[in-house]
Amino acid sequence: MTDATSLPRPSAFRRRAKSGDRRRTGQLTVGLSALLLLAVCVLAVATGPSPIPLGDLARSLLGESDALSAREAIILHDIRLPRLLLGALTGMALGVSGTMMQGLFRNPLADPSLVGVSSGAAVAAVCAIVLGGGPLSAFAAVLGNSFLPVAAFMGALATTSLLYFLATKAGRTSIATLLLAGLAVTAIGNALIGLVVFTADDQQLRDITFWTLGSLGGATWGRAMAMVPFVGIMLAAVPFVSRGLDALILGEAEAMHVGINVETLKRATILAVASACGAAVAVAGVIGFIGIVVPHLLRLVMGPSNRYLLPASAFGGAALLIGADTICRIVVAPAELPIGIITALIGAPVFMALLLRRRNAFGL
Amino acid sequence: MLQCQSISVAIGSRYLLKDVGFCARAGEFTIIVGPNGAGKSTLLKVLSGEIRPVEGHVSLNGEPISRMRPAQLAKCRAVLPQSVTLAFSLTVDEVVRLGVEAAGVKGSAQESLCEAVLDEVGLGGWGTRLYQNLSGGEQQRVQFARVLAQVPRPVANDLPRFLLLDEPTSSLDIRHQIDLLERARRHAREGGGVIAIVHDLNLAAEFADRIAVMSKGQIAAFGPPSETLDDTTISKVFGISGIVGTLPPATMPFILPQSRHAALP
Repeated sequence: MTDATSLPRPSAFRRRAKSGDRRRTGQLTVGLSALLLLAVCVLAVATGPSPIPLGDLARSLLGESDALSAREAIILHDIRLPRLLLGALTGMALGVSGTMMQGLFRNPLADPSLVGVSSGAAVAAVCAIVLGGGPLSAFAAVLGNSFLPVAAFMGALATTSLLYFLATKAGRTSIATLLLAGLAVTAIGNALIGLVVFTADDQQLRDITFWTLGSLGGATWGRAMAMVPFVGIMLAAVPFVSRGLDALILGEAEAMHVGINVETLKRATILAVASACGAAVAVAGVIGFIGIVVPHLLRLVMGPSNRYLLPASAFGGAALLIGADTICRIVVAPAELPIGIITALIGAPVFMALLLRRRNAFGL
Repeated sequence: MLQCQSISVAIGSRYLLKDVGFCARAGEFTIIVGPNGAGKSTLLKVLSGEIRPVEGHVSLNGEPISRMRPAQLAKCRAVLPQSVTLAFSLTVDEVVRLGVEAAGVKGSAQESLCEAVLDEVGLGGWGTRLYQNLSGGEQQRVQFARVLAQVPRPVANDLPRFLLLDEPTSSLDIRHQIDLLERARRHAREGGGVIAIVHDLNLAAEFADRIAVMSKGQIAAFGPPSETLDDTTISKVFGISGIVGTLPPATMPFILPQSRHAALP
């Protein structure tokens, strides 16, 4: 089926095709997003109501014990570093979850916070806070720092499965059904949270308020470390689901044709998303839009291939969240803005731009 | 050999396929024809493992496909769907690469295989273009390239590999229809097997070694073109008559579509 007469094949074009442009861009973007994350981390550690000079920070990292004052050392080790780790893990969880859900639902508008997965996790976490002191105190004692993340994981898993069941029929996911089901789930979630809040005592109320707004303010080493296994599960799933999610771009039947076990892929993806999202909600509250902004911007640069998009979303998500958190810490210092405000201000316009681009396909 | 025995598929109480037996041999080009809704695509989906029949079983080279893992199945057969809509904007290369990877090809051989199959469908050098910007026919050729990449050799480990093509020529111009069917026939001549759904009865007569004529969820006739595309079968299955002739060599049927009202005064 050669068509030499009608198809011009300039040799330069051919060479470019041979090297696979997008794969190189993909690798480059993963590298650059990792560097960006590193830079943001350094800035975040140095910046705050009480800045630490970068030079001192570097000398301290190189092993000079007297580079930082005692006060600076405490701020660094007990406040900024755990917060940084928590931010990185949460950002990775949200960025990668967004990319995975969009791949699973075959739609760039799917996002854990928009379709109610975060809300499901929040309900479970609120219940855990209130019931952890009462009927569930035995579990709370056994699980310690992991109690909240485990509860939120269960909530996220239940919601994701419910959404998939509601919105997918014969392998096709209706995004309208998905978003509307998300609205319904969020409404039920808010009602349940309201109910639980009504019965909560003062300390529980403070805990609940803190993270319905979304914040990294409660960061401790314990909380950050409790999150590691949950995000670890998701990151470990990345190499196993990336080819499957790429094949899913063609369609469910087509993915099966090229050798993907679609049912296993779906289960692994749902489990990974629920695990990471649940943990993120448990420690930082409901932080919206990271999962939609990061994959969208990255796709514009590198294309939709999940092999590079998933790792880049991890780095990009972490960088964006830490960046947003740094802004929250300094704009009204010494007070702090809830981080959800910043991510919504960045994210909602991106979401609207996406809607505009897809409005024809969407029937709006 | 890809075969199925006493297959039935039903949606509710309506049978899409009822007690169908079918077999495609290695080295042969088998073409399925029949009116809309006859169950052609359903049969192909059963053969590809996409649909599990409520009754009967399908076997590929003697092994029941229900017991094969998707990855194992993908190395033995490739499927060309009627049309594919991408959820995200992949390049031509990225689409073809999904087939290349299913074949288990690794390293630098991936790129050369990608290029080779794109050359074969006349799209050499189109690798970096976006799939969604191509015309329907070009997209169909890219998908065919992906299918070819998935089973690059018609025979592997002494076992034939199969191409399952659902209306592969539906969006193609006449030249590319012939190019594609010739390429598929070559796969069969080199020891593989090909099953294709084709609506153009003349193309079917020209390329098929055997033709399965389907009607109302069953196989009405199965055999070489000269035995299956005759007046009786065509009029019974398609409800039109008086248009079947033969071309030299005298056994090859040709079917000339005629307006039903042509004979009216």
